[in-house]
Amino acid sequence: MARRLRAWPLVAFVTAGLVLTACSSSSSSSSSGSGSKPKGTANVAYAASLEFLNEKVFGPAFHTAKGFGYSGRAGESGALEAEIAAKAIAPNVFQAVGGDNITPLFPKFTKWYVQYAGTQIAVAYNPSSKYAPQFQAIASGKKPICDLFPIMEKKGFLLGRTDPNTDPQGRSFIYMIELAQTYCHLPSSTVTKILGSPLNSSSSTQVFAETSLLAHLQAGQLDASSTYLSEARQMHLRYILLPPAINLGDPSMATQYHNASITITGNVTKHGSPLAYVMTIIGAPTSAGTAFIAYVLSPAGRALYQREGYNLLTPTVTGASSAVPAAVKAEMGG
Amino acid sequence: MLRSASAAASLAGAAVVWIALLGPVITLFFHVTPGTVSSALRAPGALTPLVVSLEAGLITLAVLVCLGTPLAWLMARGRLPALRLWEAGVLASLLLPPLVVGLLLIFMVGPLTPIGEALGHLHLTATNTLFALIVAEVYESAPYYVLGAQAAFAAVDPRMEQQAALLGDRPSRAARRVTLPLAAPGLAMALAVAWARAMGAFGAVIIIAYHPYGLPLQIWTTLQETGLASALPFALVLLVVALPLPVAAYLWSARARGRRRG
Repeated sequence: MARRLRAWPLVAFVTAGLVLTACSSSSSSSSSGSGSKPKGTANVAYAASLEFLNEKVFGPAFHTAKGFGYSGRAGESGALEAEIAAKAIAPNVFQAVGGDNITPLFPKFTKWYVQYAGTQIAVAYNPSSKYAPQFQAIASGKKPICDLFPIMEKKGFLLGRTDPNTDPQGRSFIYMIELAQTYCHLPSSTVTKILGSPLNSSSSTQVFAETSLLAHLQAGQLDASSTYLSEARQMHLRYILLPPAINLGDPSMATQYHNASITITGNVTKHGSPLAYVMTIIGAPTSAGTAFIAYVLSPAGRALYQREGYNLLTPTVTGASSAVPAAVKAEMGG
Repeated sequence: MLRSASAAASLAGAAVVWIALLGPVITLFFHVTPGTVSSALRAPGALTPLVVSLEAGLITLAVLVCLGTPLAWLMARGRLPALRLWEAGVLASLLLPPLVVGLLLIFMVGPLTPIGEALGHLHLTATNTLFALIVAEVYESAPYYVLGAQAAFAAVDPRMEQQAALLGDRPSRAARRVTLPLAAPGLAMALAVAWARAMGAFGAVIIIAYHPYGLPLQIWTTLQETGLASALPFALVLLVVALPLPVAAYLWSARARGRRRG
């Protein structure tokens, strides 16, 4: 027993040494490349709605095409912005839904962002729901889209959405219902009948973490839920397409979308706007981060976005265009 | 000389491991100040998650004591057929990542499942309610309690119970007068570990009980909404609230064992 006691500090030190060696070897292997391969990894923090695209399609394609490593972290756009601002995470690239999740990082972390793709809000539904026949009729155009909202008002209707205080999708879904109330000439109580009150409540029973929302729908435990169209297609969900007047997917209807609004935590009022993906480089540009953004804007990258159900938007820079790396400008034709 | 060098090495080794284990807690104290804690706790509704966590944690413990203790005793005394199967079942739920437990709970107790519909008749919902939070906490902490309690009961010499029976005690009386008092220190430790797991439960909670927020989700959502500086004070609150029970249980358990050794 005494011998065992004497031996254990040695075991502890050896174990600690092995752990440290493993850590140092893994970090050195990540920072060194072999031969003429480009060095470094693009660390990308991105809106969770890009998770499938980035992890399954874009990240591997970027690695194959450019040789850089790719490491992604999904989250709600507002949450990622808060984590970057708090220096809890330090990605090279930040991809968000809406420029309003990047402008708070001006000018300390970045001075610009580029808008490059779009999506739209849709309603995903449970094919086993008792309302499924009505959903199918609306999805196929046999019934008008405005028939959807009285169904959602029904007592016991199980609707899922995300937190409007942290997630652009959560806010966009609320904007969509507000716009639908006007578009369909529904009674003024429709919004609160569907969403409850107050609109910005995080504690509504309809509100789920973004990561678990579609799991509840796929498990058949919701009648319908908010979704982005791209997400619904990638996950093979049944969904109802909404008209451009309310789906936040048409940049030409920005003025109309602006009429919808919600006040969120911190007494900040947000207005509806076209659902656009924006991206920027956080901190000093790295070659991997710059290459990632350039690849997103390249014809090959844009083809991948289009294939996965996103709308391609003409890339436009907001902020200090002089701070945009030359390789990124080159892909934008400038 | 050699012995004292060895003792010093042991102490140094122990200190390294102990400090490494405490690393996150020590770091926390470097990143919160009385001012940040005070301002975080003075925000409207800031104490609600604390109340929710305590409420859910205490109910979880009550559920574990009522349901987990008999199961642990039966397992410890080998009163169940195919005992290894029962033990494997408890271990399986321990091995599943809490996030996966949460995802599977959707299928099990979601509002449109048979269990969910039965709960609905009782006006209960296991999604986004306090009840859902308790369900998630029970599933995250139960294996720790059952296995700990099984070990506590197994440490009680069955001959003591047999002697009580020979002296005329019925099984329930023998359990109350002999088994439970002898197993109490171990049971207290099992309960303390379960309490810590329940108070810190997150993986299953974020899936089926996004609200009402307990402290772990309050930390998560505050981090998302306003950043790290305002989230960390709640981590300190979690520590301060969750720690006294395990520490008290440990001290009581150690003293009880010391008294027994004589």
